[in-house]
This record gives sequence, structure tokens and C-alpha cells, in this order.
Amino acid sequence: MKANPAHATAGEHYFVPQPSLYPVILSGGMFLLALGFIQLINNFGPGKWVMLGGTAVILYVLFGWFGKVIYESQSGAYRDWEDRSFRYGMIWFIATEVMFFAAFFGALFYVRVISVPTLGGMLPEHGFSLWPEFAGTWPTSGPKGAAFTPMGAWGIPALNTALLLSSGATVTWAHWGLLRNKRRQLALGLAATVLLGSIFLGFQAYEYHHAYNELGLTMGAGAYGATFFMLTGFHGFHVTLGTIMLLVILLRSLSGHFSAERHFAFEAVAWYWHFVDVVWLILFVFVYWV
Amino acid sequence: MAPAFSDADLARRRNAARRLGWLLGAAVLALYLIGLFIKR
Amino acid sequence: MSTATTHAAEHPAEHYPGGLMRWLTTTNHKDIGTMYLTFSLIMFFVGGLMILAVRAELFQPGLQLMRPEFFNQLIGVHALVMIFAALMPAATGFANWMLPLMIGAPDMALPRLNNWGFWLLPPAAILLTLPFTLALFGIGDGALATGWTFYAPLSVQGGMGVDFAILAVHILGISSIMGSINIIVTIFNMRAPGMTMMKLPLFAWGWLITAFLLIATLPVLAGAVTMLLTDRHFGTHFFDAAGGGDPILFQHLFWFFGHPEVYILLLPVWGLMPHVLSTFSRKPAYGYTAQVYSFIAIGLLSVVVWAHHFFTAGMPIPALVYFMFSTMAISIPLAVLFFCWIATMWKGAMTFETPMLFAVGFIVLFGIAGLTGLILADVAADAQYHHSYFVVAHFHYALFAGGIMGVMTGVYYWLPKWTGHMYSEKLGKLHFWLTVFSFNLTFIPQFFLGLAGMPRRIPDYALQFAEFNAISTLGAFVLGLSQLLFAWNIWCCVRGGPKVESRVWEGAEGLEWELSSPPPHHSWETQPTVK
Repeated sequence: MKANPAHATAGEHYFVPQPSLYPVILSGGMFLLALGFIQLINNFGPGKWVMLGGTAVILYVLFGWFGKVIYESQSGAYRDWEDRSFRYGMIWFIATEVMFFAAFFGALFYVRVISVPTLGGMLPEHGFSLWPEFAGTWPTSGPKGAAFTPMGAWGIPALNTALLLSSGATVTWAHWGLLRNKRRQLALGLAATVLLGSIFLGFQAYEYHHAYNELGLTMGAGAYGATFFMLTGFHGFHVTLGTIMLLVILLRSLSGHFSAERHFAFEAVAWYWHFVDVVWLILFVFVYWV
Repeated sequence: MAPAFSDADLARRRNAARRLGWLLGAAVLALYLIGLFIKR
Repeated sequence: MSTATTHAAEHPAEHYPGGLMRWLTTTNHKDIGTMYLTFSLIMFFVGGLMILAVRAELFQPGLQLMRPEFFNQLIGVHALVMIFAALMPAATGFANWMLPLMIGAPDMALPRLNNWGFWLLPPAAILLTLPFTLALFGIGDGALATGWTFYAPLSVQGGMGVDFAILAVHILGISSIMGSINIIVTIFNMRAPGMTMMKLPLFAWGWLITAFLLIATLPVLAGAVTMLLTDRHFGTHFFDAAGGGDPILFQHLFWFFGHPEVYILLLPVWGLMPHVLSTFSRKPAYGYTAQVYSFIAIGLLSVVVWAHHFFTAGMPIPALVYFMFSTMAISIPLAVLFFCWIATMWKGAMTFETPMLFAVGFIVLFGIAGLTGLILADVAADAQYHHSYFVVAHFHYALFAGGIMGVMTGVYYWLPKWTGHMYSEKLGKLHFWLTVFSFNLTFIPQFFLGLAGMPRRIPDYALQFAEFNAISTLGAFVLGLSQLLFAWNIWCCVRGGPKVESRVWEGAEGLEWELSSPPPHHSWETQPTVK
């Protein structure tokens, strides 16, 4: 192994950004957000205001940092080499998100396959059961949980599935528009995707309202309530983020950003949206349906 | 910056490493064989 | 070397802030690496002080110095600090400093993200230790008292220290994930032309597998502590049997992260070992391909063996048997690594500078960790050893002798490259022998204590354990004090000392030794070509 600078490609200089204060400010904002949250749930100090301050700092950095990146992108600082870094980065970031959801699906499968049936059949070999009236079937709020009505699959959830699947199609249609330089199709596709995502979120908000007020289905409704709200809740949070990202991409494409050759930001957001879509499909099957 | 070692010294070290390797190998083998005869 | 310096000189107009702003704003992989390593050294002493207080309490039976609750807080925060704030940042610091130099890259692939990854650490460290301070002012009852594993239901019932630790773990997790993404992208995208994956330095391979493990497991830990948080404050029943949940679910989720975490701490060191051994044996590393495939095999196996950490919690027999055999299967690729390290030295012209001493010491002591691990992996035997001091001794052989001493190997090996100065060999060797002696003095008695039945995590113990505990405490204080030599040696080396050439060690091979010591601000602005 020997270095030989004479053979290196001329002119291939990787873009290393100038020193920046954004990362350290972002860390400060996250510290405030975390500290305020702890204060809020433990009732000491002005937790709400600390959280608000942290959120403001984070928002400032998001605008500033992404603004800087967009500026660098528009001024042509990124070429194929840098573009590849962003692609790899986004792919592995989505991989971490997959594993985050895997933890909650793991919890769901564990309670359904192991803990609830075990609790239902606890100690029959000793001639008695700890909770004779508890059958250990799903859905359940556990041996000591309150009664509730589980969420049916074929009402709003099925409609939401259709909405998200069509939004996956519209974002691809927008991508085709971008690739063929049909800017109108690009804008329309993105707008449709944002709209579908927003309707999805509206339906989900209605569903939560319905669950809390009419079905008795709350986060405290045992293993079912916990897994239901954490899975759909984190998914809904990701849909919200995805919708905001799509909106930014829509605004950027309206102001003439992106070309048929170079549009990593569009693709990153599209990947993210498809990831959210796939999570929903798994969720629909295992949380709502079976 | 590391102190320079003469070729003769390095050759001596090579031999020492070889001998020590055999020695340790033999010791491990001996331990293994002795273990076969320990009854509990 | 000369090429790189000329390229740095082509940018006279570039402005870099000085003083504190240099460190707050930097996007340079060397500056960020230095910050990671400095942070790691500081937190190493913070975590060390905590455990010295614990050992002082355990010097004699009975309660002398602290309340049991405070004792519990100290051991939990000691572990979290040492794992997340000392060992992991040290390895990330190595990666930041050395990966671009080793693979011929101008910098890390995502420099601003890199800076963010570092600057998340100080806030997390503050969150972790803040409850101690708050308790002095009458707010809360101190840090988490559950041990670093957060086991439910104790952690569900614990005070606000648990909330601080949960949020700290979230931030530390984001930091590690950003670092991992950056390292993966750097290795995939920034290699010099001609450096194929099978020509990659083994250190880079070790870190690549580490980064994949972090990406696969840290989000699961984040999920687990999030469930803990909602169980504590938002009424969910993930870990509560009354609602159909299960405390053991937490153990599954935690150790799905926790076991790979062991390899996350060790793989960077395993990657570094062949470099050091080959340099000071003046021979190429033995079995490059075998080592690469062993890394991959260990990475894959490590995510399917987690339940051996709670064999006694209650599991069906087939599950026990599966987890026992899969755990023991890890010893096969690990043995391959051991044989490769030994074969690298075989017939080598070995010289024993400080890094080589640490490397050889690592092999012997980490070997003990591996062998005692096999005992614990045995389901039938583990019923006896579980939650005893035997386990404590075992994982300190793995994480101190394997992790920390591995990091020290790397520091002594690369310090002259980073600073341009040679450290004091005399002090380094003294540090090594003191460390090895006092480390064994501390932890060999703990094996016996565990075999005799002393449980972990207790501030008081039965009289028959008194002598061994006294010896262990004595060893721990010598061990702690001898680390001051380490810090002093580094400090002196940073400040000055004999100048070194670009190839610091005469037997060293690799791109990192082609650049000057210290390397220019822009490492490989023009990439070298690897044949």
C-alpha cells in the first residue's frame, strides 16, 4: 500500500464546509428541550418555558442550517462526490428509523405472543389461576385493565391506508415530472402528496378523539392501548415530519430549485415518505387488522 | 523517532519470538493433556 | 507528505476562528477527534472518581461513607459515564482522527454533522450528572438508582434521576448514531482511488461493523427507554403485568442493544490491535481476510444472543438452549482473532515500546475475559454465577482490559502522530506495569468473591468477604492513581517533547504514516492512489 499523489484525479476536491456555529447551538436547544421536559413531568421550575425556549432555538437552527445547505446546493458546491455522501447518509438514517419502529413492533409481538397468553394461563398446573377471569386473548387491557372497545380496521384505518398508498403514487408521479422536466406535474404531484398526508393526519386526529371519548381506548388501556398509541403515535409524528418536508420541497420546486439531473433533497424526502408508507402497511396489518 | 535497532538485534528478536511461540504452544498442549487425566 | 503541505499552503485566504470559537465551530476531523478524546479522558476520571467512592465504601463491611441509595446512584452513573461518555467517545475520537488519514480522505464525509455529534455529548453528560447537584439543593433524590440497566419495575418507580438518565441516553444515542452514519459514509465514499474494501485498514473494518451495530441497536434502546418514560409518566403498561405487559420485555429490549454494545466498545479496539502488533513485530498482520470475516461474523452473531444476560429471569428451556449455544458460537470467530494476533507476533522482530506492551497485555487479559465469558454463557453454571461479583470481574476484564487498555494502546500508538512529539517511554512503561498490576489486584479477588457468593450492587456484605474486598479496594485506588501518570504523560506530550518524523514507528505501514506529524490542516486534499 503506497501513496502516489501523482495519480490522483486533478480537480477532485471534496467540499468541506467552513466552521459553523449551528451544531453547537442545536445541541444547546436540545439540552433546553430535554431539561424543560424533565421539569415539566416532575413539576419543578418553569419547565414549559424552558421547553419553549429550546424549541425556538431548534427551529432557528433548522431554518439556518437547512438554509445554508440549500444555499450551498444552489451555488453548486455539491457535485457527484458530495451527493453520494448525502445519499448514503440518508439511507442509513432511515435504517435507524426502521430499527426504532422495530423496537415498538417487537414490544407488540412480545405482549401478543408471550406475555398476555402467559398471564392468561398463569399457574393452572397448581390447580388455581392468579386471574381466573382473564382469558389471555387479544385485544386486551390486561388482567387489571378497564374495559374498552378496540379500534376496528375497516373504517378510518382502511381509508387512511388508501390515502397513504395513493400519496406514494403521487410523489412518484411528481418525480417522473421532475425527471422529464415537466415542472407543472412536479408541483401538482407534490401538492397532492402534501394534501393526502394532511388528510391522513386529520383522520388520525379524529380517530384519537373517537378512541378517547367514545371507545374508552386510552394510552392507559393496558398492553393494547400502549402499543396502539405508541405505534400509531410515532407513525403519525413521522407523517407530520414527512408532510412538512414535502411542503418544503414543494416550495423549493416552485421557486425553481432542482433539475432533472440533480435533486437529492427531493429523493431523500421521497425515500422518507415511502418508508413512512411501508411502516403504515405493517402497522395496519398487525395493529388494526389481525 | 523509535530507537533504531540493528539488523543483528532484529534477527535475535525474530528467533526469540519463534522460540517463545513454541514454548507457549507446548505449555498449552501440556496443560490440555494433563487436564485429560484429572478426575473429579 | 510534502504534497499535502503544499496543498494546505494554497489556501492562505481561508479564515479559521481561534480560541474557544475554533472548537465550537470546527468542521475539521482532527479538531473534532481531539475534542472527543479530551472529553473521553475527562469523563474517564469523573467515572473513576465515582467508583473509587464505591470501592471506599466496600473497603470494610458495614455502612461507613454513604447511604445505600447514594451507593446505587454511583454504580449506575459510573457505568453510564464509562460506557457512553468515556469508552464510546474515545473510539469515535480515534475514528475521527485516523480514518481520513488511513483511507486517504480529505476529511470526514459530513463535517458539520460530525461537529454536532460531538457537541451533543457535553449536554448529555450534564443531564446525567445534574441530579446529583439538584439533590444538594433539595430538588429530587439524586441520580438514577437502578444501575445502568434501568430494569423495570424498579426504574418505573424510581425518582426523577431516571428521567434525567432517559433523556441523557436519548441525546447520547443521537450523538452515536450521527457519528456512525458519518463513519459509514466516510468509509464507503471517501476512500482513496484503488483502496478496495479488501485493502481497507483493519481499524476501518472494525469501525465499520461497529457503526452498523450502533445503527441496528441504539434506536431499539431509544425505543425501550421511551416506553419506560411513558410507563412512568403517561400511564402505559409496557412493563406492568396488571395491564398485560411484562418487566422481562424491558430486559429483552435493553439487552438487544446491550449485548451488541459490548462489541461496539470492543470492535474498534480489535481493529486497532493488528496495526500495533504488526508495527512492533515488523511483519504484516496475519490473516487479514480471516479477521475481516471474523468481524462480520461477530457483528451478525452479537445481535442474536442477547438473552444470555438474564438466563435466570425465566425463559422456556428451548430459548435458554438457543441463547447458550449462539453465545458460545461467538467464541469461534473471536478465537480466530486471537490466533491472528498471536500469529502476527510469531517469528516477528518484536520490540516492546509502550503501545506494544499494552497490546500484549490486552491479549492476555482480554483472553481471561473471553474464557470467563464462556463460563457465564453456560446456562447451568450461570444459575450459580448470575448477579455475583464473578460477573463484575468478567466484564471489567472485557471492558477495562479489553476496552480501556485497548484505547490506551491506541493513544500511545498515535499520540506522536497527533502531536508531533514523542511521549515519555519511561512514564508510559511505568503506567503500563502499574495499570496491569493494580487492575489484576482489583479484579482477581472479585472472581473469588463471586464464586464465594457475594452479590453485585450491594453497599454492605457478609463478614467472610472482608479480606478480598479490602484487597480489591486497595488495587482500585492504585489503579485510579496510576491513571494520573497517563494524563500527565499526554499533557507533557501535547506541550512539547522530542520531534518525531512522519513515520513515527520504523515498522509502521499505511497511509497515515505518509503524512507529516502532526498532519497538515487539510489531510489528503489530493487523494493518494493505492496500488
